[in-house]
Amino acid sequence: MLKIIYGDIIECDNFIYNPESYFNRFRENEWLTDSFAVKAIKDIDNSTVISSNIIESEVLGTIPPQYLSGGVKTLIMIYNRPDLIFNATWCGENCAQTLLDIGKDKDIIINLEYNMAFPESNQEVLILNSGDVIYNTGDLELEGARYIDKNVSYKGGEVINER
Amino acid sequence: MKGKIQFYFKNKKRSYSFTLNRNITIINDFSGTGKSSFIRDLQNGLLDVKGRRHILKSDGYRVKILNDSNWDSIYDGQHAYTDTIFFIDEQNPFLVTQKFAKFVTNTGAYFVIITRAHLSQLSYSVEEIYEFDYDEDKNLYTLKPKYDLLCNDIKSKYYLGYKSNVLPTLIMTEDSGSGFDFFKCLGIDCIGAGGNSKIYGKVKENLDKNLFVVGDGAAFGAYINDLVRLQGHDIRLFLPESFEYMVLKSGIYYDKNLDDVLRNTWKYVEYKEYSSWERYFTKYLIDISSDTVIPYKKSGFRKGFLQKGNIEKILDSNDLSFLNIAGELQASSDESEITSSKSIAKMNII
Repeated sequence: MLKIIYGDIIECDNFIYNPESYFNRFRENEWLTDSFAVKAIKDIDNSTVISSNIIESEVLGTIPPQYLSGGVKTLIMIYNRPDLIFNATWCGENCAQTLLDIGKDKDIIINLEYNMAFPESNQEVLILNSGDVIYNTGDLELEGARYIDKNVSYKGGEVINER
Repeated sequence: MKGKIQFYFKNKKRSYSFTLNRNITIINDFSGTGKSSFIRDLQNGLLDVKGRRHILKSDGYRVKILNDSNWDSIYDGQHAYTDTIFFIDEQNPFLVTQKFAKFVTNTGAYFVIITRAHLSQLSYSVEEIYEFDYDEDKNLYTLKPKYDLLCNDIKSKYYLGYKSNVLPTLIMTEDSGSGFDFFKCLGIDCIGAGGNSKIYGKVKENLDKNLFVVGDGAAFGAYINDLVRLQGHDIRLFLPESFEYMVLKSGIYYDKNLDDVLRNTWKYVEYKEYSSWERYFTKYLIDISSDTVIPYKKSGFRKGFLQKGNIEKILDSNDLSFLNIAGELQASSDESEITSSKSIAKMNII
């Protein structure tokens, strides 16, 4: 299930604020050639995986994985490390469907500091700020707007919204 | 710093060209559109001190990339950066802090910020939020506005809803100052939201109404994204630069530079003094009205200003005549100040 913490996280265990940097340092080679990553890199970055260290971009030419977009790096990290909480503000709204898709098969928690627009679907999404389950992803924006400007702490499975 | 700045950067593979119209330019775009590549290209270009592989033009202003690793030292030495264009990639934690807002105001520098975050501690214009536009044939990146005006008529700055003569059932202003006083006179239900950050919540509480929401476009940038998502509801979002801008347009007050100030505001706003065009318009209006019979004040109109004629002038000059319901204007009837001995040469009060 996809679970979202909206707002500016000030305290949280297993939270990765900068998933791009984390990807650059800790990614594993086989993640890039996995079918998930190959598809995400094609869909989001319009690029083709040649090998675990070579990507062919239509705009940038031949690039290393470090030159992938922050959004696609974040998606790859979320997919491969569901035990961590990633700041998905790095993901543009063109990543929203992929986030929902990951949430269909895996329990993931993401943080959003902006009100990402999700495509309409009946997929359940848990908003940890309120504990509410949203049954129509089109309603997520209305809920997200309530918490975007909050400072939040996440401890012991509970979000404390401040400010 | 003040004025428009033409920015151009070129390396062997691609080029970037755009105009900085105000002190804060936001680039908010999908993933994979070249934002981080731009910063990387610029960083490499700045290292190419002799300019052998890059061309960088910035109207003579210094260009600097601001990030987490140099933020503290630059903040401490901020007095040295008043003539600088700072480029900031997304997800630098300092971006959302009050300290950064203070830095923006203290230096009066220009900032190009790549971000999706709500930078609610900054005042930036809806018009200065952009996406990248890429011309594949020329390998050229330019900027295009992220939020389009619904109407090409520059008098009618609607970002949501429609330009229509249908009367709203509720007008919502940003706060309870002079803008609220003005719209309250129209005989239509009117509420103040209590600040830009509260507008979204108040709108949500009133979705059953035909809403006309008025905000200061010059400082509304952090809030536009949530509101435009409310497409499909009966809401019109009207964002002139500010209410003071509306009053200046009306011609009620006179100054020899007024026309140029309104048309070419960018020539006049020094960002070390004014954090946004909204602040500038307020000061300018206060100044040019100061020796008139009814000097302007932001917290609420002085007695005698809200006469029928003045209200109609403000409505007409801002393309809001449809809000003038015949016989409903709750104008002030007190004319005592207008007939005082003070000079009325700078006013065109009806």
